[in-house]
Amino acid sequence: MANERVQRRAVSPLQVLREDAVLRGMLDGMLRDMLEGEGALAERVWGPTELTSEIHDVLREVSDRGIDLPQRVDVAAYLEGHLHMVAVVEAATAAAAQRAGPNTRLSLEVYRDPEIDDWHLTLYVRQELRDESLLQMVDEIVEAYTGALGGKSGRLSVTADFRGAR
Amino acid sequence: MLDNDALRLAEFRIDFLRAAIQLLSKREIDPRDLVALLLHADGHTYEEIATVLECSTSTVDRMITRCSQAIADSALLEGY
Repeated sequence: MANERVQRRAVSPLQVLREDAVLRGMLDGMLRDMLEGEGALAERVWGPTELTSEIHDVLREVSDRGIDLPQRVDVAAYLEGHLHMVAVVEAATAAAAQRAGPNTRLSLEVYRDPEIDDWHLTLYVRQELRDESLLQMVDEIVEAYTGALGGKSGRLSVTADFRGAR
Repeated sequence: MLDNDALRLAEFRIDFLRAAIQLLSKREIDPRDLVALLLHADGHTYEEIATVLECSTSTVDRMITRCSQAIADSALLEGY
């Protein structure tokens, strides 16, 4: 047994991996699949993929539109799991930014239901001084992106947050 | 047709992969440990790996040691 253990440690896994590029590639592929959901880590290890680039582009657009992204990593993770929602986010945030006046703050966040295993995107519309047109604005934003949903999985809510702009 | 050496190498690779998968599924190692080991085998320094994994170089050292020992204990590396 002791001999076996000594023999087993005679070649270290590190040495094996250094010498065997094929095995390194196999493990690399396995880890990529395993860490796909951890976009930020996967991107740091393997660089941006087409998927993460698309998500980064839309999140940059969201920021450029003046919309807050306090949970950027969570929103990116949600989009990685629901890639078709990228177009929905694009349509909803464009419509929202177009309609929001100086009194309105927009924030794209992930809502997690504490009681059931559910999470989805929420676009909060907040106003310091409540404008009478707030609910109409919410309806118009929803109308603008409903077509992009196309009956696929994934959800985006638009909610008037009456706590006011934060 | 595969010769004996090629077959032995294929078997060895399968053994190595199986050991890694079992250790990951039993949570004896973390995927990040294996990422650190792979990056180091690929020639990256501890400093570079620490940047990628957002941790200290001493943590990288622990990750690589833990992962390397766990695989060495699980796989039949003498066949390599």
